[in-house]
Amino acid sequence: MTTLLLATVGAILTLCVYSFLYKDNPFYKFAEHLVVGVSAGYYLVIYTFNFIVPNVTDPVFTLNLGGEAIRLGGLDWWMALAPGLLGLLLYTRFFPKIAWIGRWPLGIYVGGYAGLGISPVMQARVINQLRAGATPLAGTPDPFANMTNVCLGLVIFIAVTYLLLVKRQLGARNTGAKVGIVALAALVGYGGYVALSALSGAGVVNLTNVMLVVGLLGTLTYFFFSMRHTGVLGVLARIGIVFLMVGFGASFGYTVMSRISLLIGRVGFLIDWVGMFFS
Amino acid sequence: MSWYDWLLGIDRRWIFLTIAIAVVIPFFAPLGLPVVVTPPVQNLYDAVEALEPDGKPLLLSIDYTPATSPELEPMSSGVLRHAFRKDIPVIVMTLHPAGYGMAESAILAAAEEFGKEYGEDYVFLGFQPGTSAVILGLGVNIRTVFPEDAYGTPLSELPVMEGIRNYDDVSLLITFAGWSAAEAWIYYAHQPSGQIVGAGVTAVMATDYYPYLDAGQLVGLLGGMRGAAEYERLIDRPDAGARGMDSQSVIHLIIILLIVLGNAAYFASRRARRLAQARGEI
Repeated sequence: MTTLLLATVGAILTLCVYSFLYKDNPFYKFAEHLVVGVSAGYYLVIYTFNFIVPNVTDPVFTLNLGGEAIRLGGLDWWMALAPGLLGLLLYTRFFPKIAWIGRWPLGIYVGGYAGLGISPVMQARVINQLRAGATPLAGTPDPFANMTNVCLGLVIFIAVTYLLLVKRQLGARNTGAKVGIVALAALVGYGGYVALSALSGAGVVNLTNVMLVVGLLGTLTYFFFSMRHTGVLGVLARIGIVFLMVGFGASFGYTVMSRISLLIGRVGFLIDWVGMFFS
Repeated sequence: MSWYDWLLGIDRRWIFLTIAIAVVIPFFAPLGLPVVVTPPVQNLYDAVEALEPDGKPLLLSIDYTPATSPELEPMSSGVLRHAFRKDIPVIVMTLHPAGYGMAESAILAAAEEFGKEYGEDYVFLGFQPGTSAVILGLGVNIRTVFPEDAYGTPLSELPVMEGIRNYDDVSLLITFAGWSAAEAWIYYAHQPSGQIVGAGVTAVMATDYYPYLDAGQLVGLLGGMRGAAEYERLIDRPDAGARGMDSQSVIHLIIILLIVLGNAAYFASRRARRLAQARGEI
């Protein structure tokens, strides 16, 4: 019964939120404010009892209340009191005359985290990524060979179609000829795919790594603004744009998938909720 | 009115309704579209599969909130089922305050399904704030970060935690995160300690994590609901991930169609406007 009641509350709130898709309305506003209020309350309780109580108030006040956990004035006591006081100093921002004191804890916080983070982040995001970029172009197994070859086959098809149909305007006035040119380009693209697969299969070249290196150099060149993008630099920068666009496209596709997943999750919940009344 | 004007002026609520119908129908009439397993998912599965039964525990950090649970909950459930099926001890924790309930419900459901006993086969450490400090602290001594489990029992009283001191005693670490927690695990667990890390992230985050995968900083990656569905296929236990993939595929087709139609209508209207301008009509 409790499960059904909670599910019903959840379902009603879900419908309140989705009612916004029709137009803004009081039901949506109610659900919106409820989420903000409940979240603020939840986080306050969790942070208070998981962080402030065990790390600050318990160590500082236990002794005064007759506890024996930490010696008054000892290192542990100060280690609990000092961060607590620094945290309180953050609230001086509410008083303009002494607001500057609030920069001290912020400075300690930022400095501490910079010290903790610089080395591992540098290792993870720069050194290891550089190492991964220095990759062999042949003689290594390529788990993504088929996907790469399909993509390159498609690129060949599009390039041939563009060159023959748009650039040369072959058969531009005749629909039958246009179809023939597209079919020819498809054949060339498929031939390219077969040839590239044979090369990858024989270990002559690792095309995924070649694409990685070309894409890396092209993208870096695109963001290199100290020289005019002409000649070789211009070609590389244009290749970089293509790779950037492919990257943005993948991100967009994944973003759509992510948002739709949330909708699917909610719809699944609503269907399960309706099912509860019949089970 | 021309077709492109009609299309460009269509009330967007019709699109919302179309999407809603497209989501609902596959729930009642599953299409059974195939789910092909990709190498990043296969790699994570292989990493769990390679763990020894009753050996070093698997550390799972369930770092997602209810907002991202439709994508990440099927992943965590899939990995938990895989681990319990292989009798791998599991330590569960969370770096997000809202992850507490998510982690607890996921592990309780999986433990009940496989008849696992709390403290013997698995443990739930709960939540500790301070992401990077927590991760670095676990590399030194788990007990200084989590002196007790989520229910107040000292770790020394839990058999599953016997001999577990830091990352050296953990076989594999997998994080399920809807925020930057997965990056934090790479920075502060993999880099300093060499801990093997796997990740399950929301689809919107997945492209950001492929570089880490290619650089060997992640052993495997589950991206969004699709990643969950692939993992469910590997463990032969279809659940929420697989259930949603039919709707996902149908909606993607509709969105592609809408993008094509929208672009066609835009270019057609632009061409018509130029022709009208050339004729001096506007």
